[in-house]
Amino acid sequence: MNAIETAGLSRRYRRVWALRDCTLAIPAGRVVALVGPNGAGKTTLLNLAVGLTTPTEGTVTVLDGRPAGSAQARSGIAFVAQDAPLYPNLSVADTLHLTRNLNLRWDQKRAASRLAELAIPLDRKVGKLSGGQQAQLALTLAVARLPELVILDEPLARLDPLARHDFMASLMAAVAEDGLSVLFSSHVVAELERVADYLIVLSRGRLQVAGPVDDLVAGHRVLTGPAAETDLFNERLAPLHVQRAGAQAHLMVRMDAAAAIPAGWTSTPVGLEELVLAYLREPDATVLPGPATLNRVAS
Amino acid sequence: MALTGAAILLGACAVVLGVTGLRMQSAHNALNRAHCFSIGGFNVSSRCGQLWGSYYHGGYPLTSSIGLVAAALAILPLLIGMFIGAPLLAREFESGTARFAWTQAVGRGRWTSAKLGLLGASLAAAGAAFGALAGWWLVLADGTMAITRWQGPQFGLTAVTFPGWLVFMFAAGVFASAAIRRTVPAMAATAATGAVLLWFSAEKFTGMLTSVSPLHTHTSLVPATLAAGGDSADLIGGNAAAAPRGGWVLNAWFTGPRGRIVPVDANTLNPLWNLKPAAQVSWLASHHLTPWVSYQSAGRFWTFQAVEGGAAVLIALLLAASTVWLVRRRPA
Repeated sequence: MNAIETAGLSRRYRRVWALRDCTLAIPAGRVVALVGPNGAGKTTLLNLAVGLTTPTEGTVTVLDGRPAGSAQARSGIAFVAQDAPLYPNLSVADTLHLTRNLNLRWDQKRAASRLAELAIPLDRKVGKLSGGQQAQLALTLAVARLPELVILDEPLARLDPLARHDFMASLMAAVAEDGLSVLFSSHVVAELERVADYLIVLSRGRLQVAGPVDDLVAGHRVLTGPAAETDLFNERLAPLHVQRAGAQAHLMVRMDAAAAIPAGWTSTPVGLEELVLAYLREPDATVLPGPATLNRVAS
Repeated sequence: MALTGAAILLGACAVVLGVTGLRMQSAHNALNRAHCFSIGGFNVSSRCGQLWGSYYHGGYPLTSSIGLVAAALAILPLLIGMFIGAPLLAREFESGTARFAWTQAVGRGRWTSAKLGLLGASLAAAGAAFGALAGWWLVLADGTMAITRWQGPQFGLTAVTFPGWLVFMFAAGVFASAAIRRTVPAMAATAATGAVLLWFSAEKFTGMLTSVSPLHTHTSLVPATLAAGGDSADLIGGNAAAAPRGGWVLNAWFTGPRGRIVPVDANTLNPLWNLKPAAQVSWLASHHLTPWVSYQSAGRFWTFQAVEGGAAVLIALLLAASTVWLVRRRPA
């Protein structure tokens, strides 16, 4: 089962393409990080997945083929938009009440006990809560809807490091408890490794990297050797990124640990952050799964 | 917030109208009990004069500028459209809460329909009650200072037209907010549209209806002053002729001995006002003058009201349907 499938998905705003020809199959049961610089099309992709925006071209389905934005899709997806917008004049209790009435499935006990754990007072106006508390309330509302997939747009952007940590811990606890799928966007590259097991990198509206974190990390190595010999690799291994430090050079290449390396060179594993940064620096390099995993519409 | 404000504003107006209206009503009842309205005119005894004074002061100071009061009340729907209608969706777009509300299981179409339906129905109910109150007050206040209920802002202040205006202005505000998506421009668009339409209703609407709804022409044997409650046209000579009670006089004239229209100026008629009713009739006969009026009969009033109120509600429903369509169709 796939949490989200897109085929040739594109969205244009006036004359600018926010997302171009994006074909993806995100498996269910994963915690997916959607990474990219500002303006890369992350929010557009998420809005398309939850049905807030309609595609200019292509298709997007969620939770095994339900059209994005349809009633069946909405009941299975909980979306936390950027900055977790909620009605500031409603109290926390009224916000729970409202959300319960706007949904078919709802676990009031769970919502109440989560808020009690977080020490968020029910009678407080939402507008008077701290940024971290508002984000936690939005997550509580999302989880209490008993969704199959939670989508979060930049959930960490406005949180301080402590709130960030607490928020991710809450999210991971919910994942562990319910086995739900999570897709979240972030421009914070650090800390991704601890939470995400699937990575998508968008750049300038195009899909650059998509795949399980373990495979990506295992499929890349950093080779270190004499800078003078760097050119040897340009054809054979097509290094993603070359960093020269005096006589030495560090090359990030796509190869696994078992691959043979030339004499005089050492191979070391890469971290996820290092890998993401390398791709962000080289927007033309791509790592995409083959078309076999997609239900691509014949065109 | 805006809802509370609107409730307080309408409530405060209702209290003022209620209190002054009840005082005028009891004074009016006292005038009736004292038989101050005799057949053929107003009884000018000192007792009746006193009661008349208390009638006037029952509504004072509002009764001293009743036209202004009517205009102020007629603007209320415009304010509702601006402060409740226009922000309804625009604020959701601006604060981002649309992205929260529209992604819940119920969906954006039902969420918007529910908001529109609930608020629209409440406004219609509140508007009918308030319109009835305002209409009752204006008829009472009209007794102290003649205005016509057929025209001007007061035409929009009945249990039929006022809820129509409220619902229409609200729906127009919400439509503007769905189309423009910014609170302040949506408010401005609502205000501009509303002001034009209110002016049209007050100044032109019943006049237009009159042109498609033929006038009655009537020879009136009884001069205007004798027909208590009759609305008389404010034309030279027109004061001498009255339509049947509650009608709307659009024109009045005199014919001479050969049945031709003759111009009569106010000075000629001056002696008439000091005469008793029977003597007035014989004075006119002796001068070979016959007063005529053309008018809309009183029964047409509610027809006109129903046309305006019905049109307002119909347009409001169309606007509401377009709003839901826009919300469903356009991306957030």
